[in-house]
Amino acid sequence: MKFSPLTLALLTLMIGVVVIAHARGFPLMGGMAYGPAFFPVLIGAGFVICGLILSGQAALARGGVKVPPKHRDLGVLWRIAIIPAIILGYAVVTPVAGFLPTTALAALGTALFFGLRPLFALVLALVIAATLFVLFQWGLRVPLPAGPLERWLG
Amino acid sequence: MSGGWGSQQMDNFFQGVTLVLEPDVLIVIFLASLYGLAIGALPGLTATMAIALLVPVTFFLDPVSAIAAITATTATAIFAGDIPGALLRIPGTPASAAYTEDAYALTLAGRPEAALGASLIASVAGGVVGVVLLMLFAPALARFAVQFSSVEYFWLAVLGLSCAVAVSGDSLLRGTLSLLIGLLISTVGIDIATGYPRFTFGSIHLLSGISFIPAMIGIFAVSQVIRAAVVGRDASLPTPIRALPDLAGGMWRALVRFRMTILRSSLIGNVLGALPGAGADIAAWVSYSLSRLLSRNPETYGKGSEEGIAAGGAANNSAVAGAWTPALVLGIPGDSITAIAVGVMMMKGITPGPRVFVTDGPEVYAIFLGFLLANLLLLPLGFVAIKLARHVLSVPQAVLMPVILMFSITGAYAVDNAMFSVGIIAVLGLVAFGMEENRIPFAPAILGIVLGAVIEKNFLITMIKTQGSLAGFFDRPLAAVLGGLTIAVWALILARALLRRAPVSESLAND
Repeated sequence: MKFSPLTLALLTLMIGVVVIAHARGFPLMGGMAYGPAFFPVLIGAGFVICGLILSGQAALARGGVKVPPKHRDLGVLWRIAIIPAIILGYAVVTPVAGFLPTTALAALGTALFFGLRPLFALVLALVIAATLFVLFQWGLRVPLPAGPLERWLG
Repeated sequence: MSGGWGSQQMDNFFQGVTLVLEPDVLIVIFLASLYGLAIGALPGLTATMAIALLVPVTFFLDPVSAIAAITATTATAIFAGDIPGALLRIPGTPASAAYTEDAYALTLAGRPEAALGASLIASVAGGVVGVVLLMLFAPALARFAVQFSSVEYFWLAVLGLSCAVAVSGDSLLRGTLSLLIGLLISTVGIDIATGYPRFTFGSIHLLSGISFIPAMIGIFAVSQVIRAAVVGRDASLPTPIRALPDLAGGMWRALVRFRMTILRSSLIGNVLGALPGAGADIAAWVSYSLSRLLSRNPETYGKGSEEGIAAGGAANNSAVAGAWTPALVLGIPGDSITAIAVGVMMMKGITPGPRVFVTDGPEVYAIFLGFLLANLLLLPLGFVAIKLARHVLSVPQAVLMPVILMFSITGAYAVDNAMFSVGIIAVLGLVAFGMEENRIPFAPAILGIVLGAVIEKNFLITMIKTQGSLAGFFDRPLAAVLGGLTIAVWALILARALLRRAPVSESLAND
C-alpha cells in the first residue's frame, strides 16, 4: 500500500476534485453567504493544492531520484486485506449466528493466520470469546448480538 | 469576588476528594493503571491505542471513574513505554523514543536497572509536578478564558491545528494532508448551521457523523493489527535478560543526582504539553536536547546517559498532565489522547470550557486528584512492572493480535450497538494503515476530526455576529493576537518548506 509519489499525488487530487464536485451540490441557504458547502469546498481545495505540490515533487523526483519499486505483489495485498475482511465478515455473520460462535471463529482465524499452533489457537479463541462475553454482556450490560447459544445462556 | 471564587474552589476541591475516594473509583484507577502498564510495555502499542480501546468500557462508568480511567492509563502507559525501549531498543510509545538509545546502551552495558530506575523515578516525579501545575494553572486560565467569544475559539482551534501541522515531523505537506483528511471526516453528517446532511450517501448511520470512538479504534488499534499482518514475524528478545538487581538503589541515586534536571524537565514538559499540537513526544525531545546542552557530560548522551533518560522521562509524563490544561479549560485538545478525553467528557455530560470549574467543579477536582493518585501509584506498580517485564515482552504477536482485534470489534459495537461501527473500524483501520505506509502522521487528522466542527461552528457564529465581515476576526485585541500568531505559524511553516526546498532543487540540478 506504499504508493509511488505520483500515485499519492493523483489520489490526493482526485479526493479534492470529488469532494468539491459533491459539495457543490449542497443547497445554498437563503440570505447566508456561507452555506453547508463552504467548509467542504475549502477542504477540497486544500486537497487539490496538496495534490498539485505532490505532483510537482513527483515530477522532480523522477528526474534525479530512483522511483521506489511498487508493491504490486498479490501476497502483500492479501495480507493487507485479510484483517478488514475478517472484520467485515464478522459484521455480516454475527447478527445471524450470534456473538459467541462468530467471535470465537474470527479469533481462531486471526490466531491461525498469525501462525499460532491449532490447538493453542482454539483455546485462545474460546478464552477471548468467553472473556468478552462476560465483560460486555454481563459486566457492562451491552446487549450483544444473540444467536441460539446466547439465548440459551440468557 | 476573588474570595468567593477561591472559597468555591476549596469547596470543589474537598468535594472532589470525597468523589475520588469512593471505593469503585479507586478500583478503576488501580485496574486502569495495570492496564496502561501492560499496553505501554508491549512494543508497538501506544498510549493512544490503550485509550482508544478503553473508551468503550468507560462509556458504561460514571463520569469521574471514566475520566480517572483515562488519566491513570495514560500516566502509566507513557512510563511503561520506556521498558521495551530499554530492554529491546523498541520504544513502547513514541514518547520514549528520545532516550531509547541511552536506555538500551545501559542495558547492553549490563545496567538495565540504572536505565529503568532513572526512567521510573523521573516519570513519577514529572507526573506529580505536572498534575500539581495543572491544578494551579487550569483554574487561573479558566477565569481568564471566560471572556473568550466565538472569534477567540475559532482562532484557538485554528492555531491548534496549525501547530499540529508545524510539528508533524519531516514532511509539512504530509502533515497538512493528514489535517485535511481529519477535517473531511469531521464534515460528515448533518451540517450544524442548516441541518443539511453532508457526505452521508443516504445512510442514516452517518447522519450524526462518523462515530468518534470507532474511528479512534480503527485508526490506532486496527491499523496496527493490519500492520502486524503485513510485516509478519515480530521481534523477540535479542538476549535473555537477567533479573534486575538493585532497582530501588538505581532509582534513589537517580533522584538525588538528577533532581534539578528532573525539576527543570517537568516544568518544560508541562508547558510544552499544554501548547496545542506539541504533546509528550515533543516534550521529551526538547527536554532531552536542552539537558544535553546544559549537561557537564554532553558526550555521554546517546551512549547511555542516565541524565538524558531522567530529563526525557520527567518531561513526557509532565506533558501528559499539561495537555489537560487547554483540553479542560478551553475544550481545545492539544494531542490525540486529550482529544479522545474531551469526547468522553462530553458524552458524560461534562462540557469542557472556562465554566467547567463552575458547572462541574467537584468532578474536575476529582479528575485532578485521580490523576495525581495514578502518578503516585506508578511508583510501586512501575517497580513491579519492571521486575515482570521479561514476561510481558515475551507475549507473542500471534496471541496479542487476535486479542486486540476482537476487543476492537466488540468495543466498537458496544458504543452504539450497531454493526455499522464495526464497519467503520475496518475502513478507517485501512485508511490509517495507508497513511502510515505513506508517512502521513495521525495526530493532525485526529485533531482535525475533533476541532473541525469547533472551527466551523465558531466561524459561522462570528460571521452571523459581524454580518459577514471578515474584519470581525481581528476586531477584538485578543482575537487579533491569536489570529496574528496563527498567521505567524503558517509563515514559519512555509518559510521552512521553502528553505528546505532550495538545497533539494540545487542538488537535483547538480545531478
